[in-house]
Amino acid sequence: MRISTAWSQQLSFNAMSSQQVKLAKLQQQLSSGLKISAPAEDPAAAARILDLDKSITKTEQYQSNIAATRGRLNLEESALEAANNIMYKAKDLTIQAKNDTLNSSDRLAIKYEVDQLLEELAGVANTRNANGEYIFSGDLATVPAFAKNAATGTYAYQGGLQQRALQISPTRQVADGDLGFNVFENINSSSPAADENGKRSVFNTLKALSDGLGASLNASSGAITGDRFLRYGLDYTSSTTTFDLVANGGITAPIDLSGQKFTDVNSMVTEINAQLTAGGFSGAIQARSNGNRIEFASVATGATSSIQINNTSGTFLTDAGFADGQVNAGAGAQTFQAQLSDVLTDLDAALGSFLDARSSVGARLNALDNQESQNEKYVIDTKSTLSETQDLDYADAISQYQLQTTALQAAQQTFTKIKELSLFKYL
Amino acid sequence: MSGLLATSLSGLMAAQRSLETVQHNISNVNTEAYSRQRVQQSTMTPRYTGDGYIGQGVQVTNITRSYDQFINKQLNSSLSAFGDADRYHQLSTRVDNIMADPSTGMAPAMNRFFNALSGVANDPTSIPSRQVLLSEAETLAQNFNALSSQFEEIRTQNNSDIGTRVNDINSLAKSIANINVQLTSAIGRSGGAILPNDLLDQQDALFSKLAEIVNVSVVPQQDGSSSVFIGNGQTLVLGGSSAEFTAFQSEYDPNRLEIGLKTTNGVINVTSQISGGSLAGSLSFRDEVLDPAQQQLGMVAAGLAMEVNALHEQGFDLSGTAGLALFNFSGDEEIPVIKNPLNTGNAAVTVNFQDVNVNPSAAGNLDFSDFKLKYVNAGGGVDYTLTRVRDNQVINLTATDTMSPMGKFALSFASTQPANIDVSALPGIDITVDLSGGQTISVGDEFLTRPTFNAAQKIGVNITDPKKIAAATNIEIDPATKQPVLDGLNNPVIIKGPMPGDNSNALKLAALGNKLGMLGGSTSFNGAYGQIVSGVGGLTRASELSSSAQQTLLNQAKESREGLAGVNLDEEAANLLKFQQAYQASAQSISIARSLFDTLIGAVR
Repeated sequence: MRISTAWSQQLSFNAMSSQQVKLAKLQQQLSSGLKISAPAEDPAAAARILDLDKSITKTEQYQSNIAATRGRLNLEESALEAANNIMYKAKDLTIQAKNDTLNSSDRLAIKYEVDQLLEELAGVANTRNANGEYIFSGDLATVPAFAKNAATGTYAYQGGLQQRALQISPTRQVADGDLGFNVFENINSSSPAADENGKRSVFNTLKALSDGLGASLNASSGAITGDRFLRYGLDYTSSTTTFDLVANGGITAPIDLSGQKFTDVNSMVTEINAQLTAGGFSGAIQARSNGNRIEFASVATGATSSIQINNTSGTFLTDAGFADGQVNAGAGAQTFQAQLSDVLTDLDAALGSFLDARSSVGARLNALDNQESQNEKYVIDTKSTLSETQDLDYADAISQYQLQTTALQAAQQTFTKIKELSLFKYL
Repeated sequence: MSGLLATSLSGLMAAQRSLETVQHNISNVNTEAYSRQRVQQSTMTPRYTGDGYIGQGVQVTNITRSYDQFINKQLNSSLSAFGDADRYHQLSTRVDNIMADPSTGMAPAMNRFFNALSGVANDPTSIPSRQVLLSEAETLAQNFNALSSQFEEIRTQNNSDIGTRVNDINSLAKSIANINVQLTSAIGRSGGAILPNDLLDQQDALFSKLAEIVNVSVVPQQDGSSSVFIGNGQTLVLGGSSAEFTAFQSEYDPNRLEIGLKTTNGVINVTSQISGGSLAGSLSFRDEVLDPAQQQLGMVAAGLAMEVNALHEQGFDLSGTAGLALFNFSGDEEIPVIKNPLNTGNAAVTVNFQDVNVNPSAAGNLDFSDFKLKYVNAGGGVDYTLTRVRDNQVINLTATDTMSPMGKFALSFASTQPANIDVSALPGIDITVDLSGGQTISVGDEFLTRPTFNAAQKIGVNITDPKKIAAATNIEIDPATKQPVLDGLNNPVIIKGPMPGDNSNALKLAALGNKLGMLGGSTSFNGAYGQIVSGVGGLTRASELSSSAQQTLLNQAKESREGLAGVNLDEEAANLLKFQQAYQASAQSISIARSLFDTLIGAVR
């Protein structure tokens, strides 16, 4: 076999060039610390790295969601604890007030204290977090959870109806708070002053205590509240809706909202009251807002006072959350002792509601801890898989680097040696 | 006595020719495609005498080159195969590197976008977290645009490359034809007995250069010229004339170049006949790597925009109004439709992306291909066919008059379908044929639509006001049962006002990141992108292997050619010595002839 001079040169060059390519590749690996620098080097691993990266960033997002949820639940926990303490003080004061030896000025002194507690509790229920959100307002986070109702002189819930949840794992969501409605307002009560559903808000309970201490043992009046969210009003621009309000078993007031549009609950209340006044019913029936809901009440009090709603035409009853023919009667005034006994029972019920909320918060915090450590373990495992997939084995790479260097040197040396061999030198 | 001188002189002359040839070889040691030459010598016709035949010395019969047609053919076909594989590898490596670059990588941008949605779900009332989402959406859209325009840039360069190569083919063909003319006259001069070695080498060099660009077959002709054919016998060079190739824009896509052969009857498209060489590498790179990658990227962009927009439009923003499209890539946006210039009807066809709110699997049905719509009117509900261009799968479509306006036909998946198709619905697009107002369509009329091709380039963010992000669903919930309040038709009641703390739509949007909504519901957006990366990576890897295999074969072919035809300096040095000695010996015999002559003269004197 013969070899041409140019080809023998080319062969040596090819050898050196391929060594240099391998060296450059190793150098790139050593300086980046990565096994593969382009998907072509290991296409399956490249796709796997994207997946692993996604899992890690996603799970790290869950971790920060957990941190945010925990912060909010801790804030709620301390608000509930403050509410608890207020309840204990209120109970102490109630028990103290039930003592028959107290005279009216002693009771008035306690009343002032109770009034303070009421304001304090309203402050707790309107706690805001660092973002300025009202923590008990649910999805209406920018609106205070409880506002003073001008008509009843107590506080009514005006927050949202849905509690926000945060994602803490691909499949798990945790509520980051509780609705003020469930914690403070929707509390079981056996008092005659309870609403038609047998509920009394803790604010109403404290108000009843305060009223009792102020020697006004009020009889209640018949009242019905729609259970729909009417904050943004109702629109009857192009529809007919009429209904009747019947007070004290006989006085029937027809209400016609056809062709009107209301942007909030108060404008609706104003309109209905105006129609009642115009029809001469304002002495018997009144409409008022209860937070985001609408409420109708008879003006008279006592067992004979009642209010009923009857549909005549249109969808108002469904829209506002009433049943056709829904009726509620008032109750007569209680004795001082009976009123305070009911208050005491309801304060216990409120304490129970706070306790339920606290234990639910505790359970959620616990779930967060569990999920957090699961997520953490998942991130560590995934990161180690990722590292195995993409990181360079330095020991291996360095020894290969040395081997390649030696090989390149050998190729270079043989090249110069071979080039020295030429017959022309001897001519 | 004079015979003695003449014989010596013939030796001297032969040695001189040989020495000249050796020097020619030495001078051309580094000349490309040079074949070493050798002097062919033979004895002169001996003179007959009574003593027998007396040798009359040596004569130079020919100067030949070491050449083997088979080896050269092998070399050229290896050059073509290597040129093809190497070009393909070089180009796909560029796409591969772009996919690997973390700054343009889509995967991190998608992750950050969905995390930002999670951030809005955490703090729906916070304007900063909404602002973060908007800027992440912007980054995501820009990354789609950037990656797509990088593909476009590679396409532009590849196109100019194709153009250059076509020009190279034309100028090489012209040079080969010129040499053919010279060869014919040079070979004719000696009646075919003596070949112009250096001219032949020059033409071989041109064949090799041509073979690097495109696979050619070279057929030697009787008159010494060589004819060159491309593909299925398209003539490139015939004797002294050469054909001209041209790169022209595809009728369906001006950014796509086709290869044409100029004839007296116009340009014939020969793209499909180009095989081998770097030109074929450029073409198959475009069809196998670049176009599918761009289509797939567009599919991910379109799918993401469709899914996100559909959900976002269901939600409500901070002011309680219904959400707009987050990406300005709404389902109403028209997809380019190109009419076949040969259509005899004048009907217009519009194609739109389907609305995910109408067809939940619209994003999953998207396919990374162009589609060809054809009016067949085959009866039995088969009015149109839709051909998936990437693999020529055909589905049947039924036309239904939408009645508004009359004559506008909506196409739907027909109940009768060819056997063995792998889809059961339209590929995420709605097709409408407009025959209102007297427009017509004829059987055989064709339209091409490219749903995903430019999608990644066109995606952008539609919203600039962070308050307009629809994080809320505004569904009225009964606080006690925590269930939605239903209206008379059993649909959830929607609150008509701002619910700033409601994050339920943001939660749903963030969950889209994990939804297996792409490619028929088999993978997530990230997974679909991962498939592009591994697809391009796999093709690049395969091309790297085939390129290095072809390199080895090419080296072997070069080695056998060099072994036969290459110049070895040591061999030439030895020959130099050999012919020098022969020259010296012949010179010496002349000197001896002279002294013999002197002796004879002296004897006479």
